[in-house]
Amino acid sequence: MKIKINQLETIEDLEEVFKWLNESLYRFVYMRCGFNREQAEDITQDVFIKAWEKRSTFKPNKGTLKNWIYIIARNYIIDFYRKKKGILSGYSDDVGESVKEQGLTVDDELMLGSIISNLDKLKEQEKEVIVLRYLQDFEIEDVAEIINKKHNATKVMIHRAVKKLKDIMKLPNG
Amino acid sequence: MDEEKLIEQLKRFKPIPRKSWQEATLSSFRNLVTTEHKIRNSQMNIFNFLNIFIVNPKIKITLAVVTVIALLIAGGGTVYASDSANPGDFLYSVDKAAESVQRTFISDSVARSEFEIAVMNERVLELSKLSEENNSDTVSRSISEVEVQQLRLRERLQEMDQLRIENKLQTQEQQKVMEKLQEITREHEETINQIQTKLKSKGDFSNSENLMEVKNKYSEEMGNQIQNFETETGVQVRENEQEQNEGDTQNQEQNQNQNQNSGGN
Repeated sequence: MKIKINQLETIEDLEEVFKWLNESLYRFVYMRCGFNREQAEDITQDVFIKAWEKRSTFKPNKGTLKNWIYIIARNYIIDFYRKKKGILSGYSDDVGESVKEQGLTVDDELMLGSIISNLDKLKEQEKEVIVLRYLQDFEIEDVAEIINKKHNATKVMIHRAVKKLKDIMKLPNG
Repeated sequence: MDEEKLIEQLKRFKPIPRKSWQEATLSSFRNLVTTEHKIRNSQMNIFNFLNIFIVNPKIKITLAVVTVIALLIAGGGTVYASDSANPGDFLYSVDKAAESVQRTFISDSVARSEFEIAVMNERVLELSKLSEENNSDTVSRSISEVEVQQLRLRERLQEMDQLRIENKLQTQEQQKVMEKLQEITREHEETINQIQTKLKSKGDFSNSENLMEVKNKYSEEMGNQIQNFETETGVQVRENEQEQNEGDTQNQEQNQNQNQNSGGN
């Protein structure tokens, strides 16, 4: 059942939004903040609290609640990353565990682990657009809204980021 | 592998948070809203009551503040029970969420800095407790928490500097915080040194080294904050240390003179 909530006025709304978005938001934060599980949980929690505090500023006619929460998450991460630069970047041991939890074959596990570790070599915005588009399944216009860029520019950015990832992994074209 | 296959593989990666974290976070949201409601309702009830029985506005305000503080203290048994939780415990998420909630209710910059100093103290104590156990992972997480808290504390201190420059904060008010900071930083350095020794004795060299870096950075940052304050305001925070050093030097000189005199005799 696909839930579509576009308001955050009561505690029931907050609980429903949390149940709806916590896993995907966690994934987004996890990929952006050093692949650290505990850190990602803390930040995800803070993002929901921040969204609750700022609920009166959400305007349904200006965009979806989901995108609005992701914008809050993104800004929080930018601030957080700026403060902790050099401390949290990098591939943590948690990733290996997370890959194992997907229940894949050994070959697929190795391939996925390799993709994730190489993803971390991209620039922040390149990683961000790949995560939003392919791991979070956002449409291009939603990605554009979240990163505050135009549709075409976003489309080009995504395409270049994927190509760069392929080059880093030295995958043959075909 | 073509682009399509690469994306297909990427989409398979779906890390998920722990169920215990999800439950703890939902639980903390209920406290968040309950506290807000209590404060809002209490303010309305208090003023309605006071309007009937008490005319003096100063008495009204004092009573209202006292009642709201009592409600904050009384509200959320879970929140205060979780205050002794450590990283890795189920209630630790509730503890952290409670801290986030408390932060939103503190608007005064001095109180915010004092709050972050208190939280820093808690983080160091948690680390000290965890270093007694044999779990390198939780120690590592706890060290990260100390690091994060140090950054928060630095932000609050910089905020105070900015307000003082803008004449929105008195130097004496900031001085009290800086004195507390100096005292607590010294205590933390000693505690962290002891923790490091403990970790080394257990063979946890990686965490011990990491902790040393964190401690050095913490000491440097806090030292810089204190020094900047002294330079910009001309107020000495480190008088006690200087007096102590001077006192020690005087004692040494006296001892030397006594020895020389007794040697002469």
